[in-house]
Amino acid sequence: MWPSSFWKKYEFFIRHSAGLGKSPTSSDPDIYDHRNVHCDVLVVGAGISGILAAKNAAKNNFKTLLVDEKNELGGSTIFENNEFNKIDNKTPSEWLKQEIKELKNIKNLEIKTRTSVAAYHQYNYLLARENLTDHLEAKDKTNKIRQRLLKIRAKKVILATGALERPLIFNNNDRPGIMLSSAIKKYSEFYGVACGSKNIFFTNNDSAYESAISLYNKGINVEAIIDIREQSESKIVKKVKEAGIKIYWSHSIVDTTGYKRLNSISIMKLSNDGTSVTGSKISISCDCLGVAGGWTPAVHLYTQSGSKLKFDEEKKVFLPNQNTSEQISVGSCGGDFKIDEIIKNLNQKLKDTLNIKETDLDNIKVEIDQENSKRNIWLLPSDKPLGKTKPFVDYQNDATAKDIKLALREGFRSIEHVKRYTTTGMGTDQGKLGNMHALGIIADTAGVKMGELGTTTFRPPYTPLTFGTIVGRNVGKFFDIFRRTPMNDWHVQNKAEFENVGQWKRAWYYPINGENMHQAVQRESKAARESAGILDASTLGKIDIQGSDASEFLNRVYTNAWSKLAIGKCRYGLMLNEDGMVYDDGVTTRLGENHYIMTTTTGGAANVLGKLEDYLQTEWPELDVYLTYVTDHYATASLCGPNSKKILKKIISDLDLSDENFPHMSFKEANIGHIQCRIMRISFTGEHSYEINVQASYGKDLWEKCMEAGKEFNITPYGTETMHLLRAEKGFIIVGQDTDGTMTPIDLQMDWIVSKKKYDFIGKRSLYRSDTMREDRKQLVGLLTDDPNIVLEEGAQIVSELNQSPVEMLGHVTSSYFSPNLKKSIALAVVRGGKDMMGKKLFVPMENKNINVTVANPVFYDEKNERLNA
Amino acid sequence: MFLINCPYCGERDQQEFKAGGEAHIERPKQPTELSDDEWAEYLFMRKNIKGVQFERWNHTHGCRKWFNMVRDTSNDEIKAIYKMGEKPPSQ
Repeated sequence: MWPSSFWKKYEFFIRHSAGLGKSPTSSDPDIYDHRNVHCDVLVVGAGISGILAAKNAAKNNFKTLLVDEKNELGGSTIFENNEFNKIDNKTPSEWLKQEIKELKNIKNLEIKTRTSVAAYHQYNYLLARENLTDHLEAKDKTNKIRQRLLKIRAKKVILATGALERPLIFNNNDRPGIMLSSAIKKYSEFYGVACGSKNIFFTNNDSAYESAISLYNKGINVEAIIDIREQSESKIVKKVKEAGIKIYWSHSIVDTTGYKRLNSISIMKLSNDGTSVTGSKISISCDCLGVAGGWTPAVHLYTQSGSKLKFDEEKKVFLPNQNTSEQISVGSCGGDFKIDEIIKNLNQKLKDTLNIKETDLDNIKVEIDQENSKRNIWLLPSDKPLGKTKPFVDYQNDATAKDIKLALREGFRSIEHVKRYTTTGMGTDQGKLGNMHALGIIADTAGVKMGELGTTTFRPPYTPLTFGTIVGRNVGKFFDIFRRTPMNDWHVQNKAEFENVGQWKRAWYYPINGENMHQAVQRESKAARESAGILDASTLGKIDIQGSDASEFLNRVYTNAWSKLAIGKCRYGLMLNEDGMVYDDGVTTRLGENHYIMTTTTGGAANVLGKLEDYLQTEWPELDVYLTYVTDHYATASLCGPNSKKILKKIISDLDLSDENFPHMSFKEANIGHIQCRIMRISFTGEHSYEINVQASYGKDLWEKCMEAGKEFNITPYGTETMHLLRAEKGFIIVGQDTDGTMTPIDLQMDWIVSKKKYDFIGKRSLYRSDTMREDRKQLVGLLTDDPNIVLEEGAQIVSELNQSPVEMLGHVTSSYFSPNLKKSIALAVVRGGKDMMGKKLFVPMENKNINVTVANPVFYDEKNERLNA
Repeated sequence: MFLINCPYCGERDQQEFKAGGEAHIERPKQPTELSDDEWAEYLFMRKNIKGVQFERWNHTHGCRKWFNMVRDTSNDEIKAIYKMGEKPPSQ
């Protein structure tokens, strides 16, 4: 668009004329549902083929489901009153009505109308939308499920999806009043609506004559039929002649007029080769034009299943060729358009696929009015040059035959490229009307056969689905499930703000007296170090490990040694991926000779379990180890701070809490009243602390007892934010925050935890790869800002030279807080070669300023760990 | 959506399972004896075949057992399923 500054003006009009709707701003008020369905035979489409297939399947004891998108059964045959076609001496319509009546008494057959199959996936898994209330009056819809998504797994699928009538492509073929011939017939037969008072049909086959007779019999005026064929001798054509309807053989429409509705058409004689028009122009006044360009098998679902199509030169359609699953295509979607062919081929296919010997179809007598001639011209000529005409191929996206030819001149050859360049077939009908013509025009222009071009890919859904149907009941609070700890009610009552950690809702901080997050976290952090804090740590992953090889197993999965860990002792472990990168960490406690309990990070719990199971089942099946996931079985309160011991003493009087009996990194079992506890004296804050585990159902009880006992020490509940701050003061990493899947333990300066003695553990070999041994890898360091009041942004980049261009990025800030205990800003960062940069001055360039920082020891607080035993 | 015949539970919908990459890649018994290239071969190199492929699958939302599958990736036909430790069917 030129000039580009005018785009904002154009845009309004372009978007408006594109006819795009407005997305809704409120949530969908309707109720949607999902249901799993299993059947022996699924029949899609309840036209004549579908009904006969379903009937015979059910009669032979196959549990059968018949679905159709329409309100009523019968497909297009239900209007098929061509008096020259007879089944058992009745018109197809009469005969089929009788068959439908009989369906109701058949066992094993479930019928669902208003149900549209949207997708056909592998292994006969199909999705269908059942429309339950759209046809009801408003008062009858209240509190009812609007649509239901059926998730169908069928042993066999019979596709009887029928065929779609296609239009003809001629100049000015997209005026109001120009519609498909079959639509005019359905309006008249099914809805009692006359589409026009001066109707004309334009056709290349006999079906327009059936529509014409249908109107004629109802007394609706048909002015003329324009037929591009030279002649047809079928009985229905004779009947049209007898009715006095004028037929123009070998004629084509070259133009149409009319603004808000069709006023007239101009026709001319077609040349013998069909590429031009000759003679004088005849203008005929009309208000409705029915176009009949032949029938295209609805093979969409068939190809969605992964099956392949083949182009049939004689019928000029793509037909099912190789099936990939237990399925057949019957009726017109399988390429049989005439009732005698349909019944004969259906009968044989049913016998083959259902493995039955006899069917109801064996003795049906069919007479048909044979159609003699066909003529297929993808793009009909006009007296004007193509450039001056408007032959629409995609009626919705306004793509014309001109556009397709232009695409070919521009050098596009692949059908998929032409489609995207012209947007042909990309409207909501997904090419159901015009795709065949687009292919035909491309083939004609490029001088290749249609079969060689292939076809565009039909993707689900066949008809549009609302998001409501897709998500079903998973809306609102069920949209994304979340997990709450047993203490959750207490956190809510005490006005905690929550944070999502994996699926968990964790207490983030507990603001009081209108505090903001910063104020609350500063207060909580000070309290935990000065007196006592309490954290809900229930979300930590917990895996119970038992078996005679449990110690050996831990030796293999953690970087450090486990064999000598005494019963009743705890040890921190670091778990790597096989590529040497840190995967998870946590404390594992030895409960007995062959019994451990492992804790994992909150977010990593399920993956760690999966990884351990994988190794046990596939690499080390000889190990006698049993894993049980017990995360949800325990609630955990972490009591921390110099007064934590006194508080614990108040609630457990009979346990000796002396450092001799219960030292740091050890474990005791005890009772609080009737509640059994597992207590680990371990610390993620650097303070003297205890993690108390109880059966989950006692979690809130335990928490309240701790709060009550801690009252005199001003026990302060703290959330995940304070936990993060406290551990950052101690330089303890959080896997996933300070690591990102590219950090080895050496990068983290945690060499001390990597056993040199062990022959092997997961990831060991990778620590000796040339890349992981590089000295200039990003390494974890502490950062202190020169101005202690400036808190760095997490994720901020770190550089050493400001005047370089381009400036070299050395790393980034991973954790950053204002430490109330140190009264200064602290940060953890990963910096290239950072291990050897202690004391070096670096910069953190921000939008408006450069922040001066100094590389420091990541342990900012209590470097000698004296507070653990305080 | 595949229908997968778990060797322990029977036929189940694909959404109960997780794919676990190429099968029959054994973790080296003596990793320290391997050169960087040999270790990299084990660690990183995986086939991605259009056609018949041997894969590991896990019944994560079921029995949590790992098993092997022979699948034609061009048409998703599952040709065979067998337990861990069992010999793969001959092609």
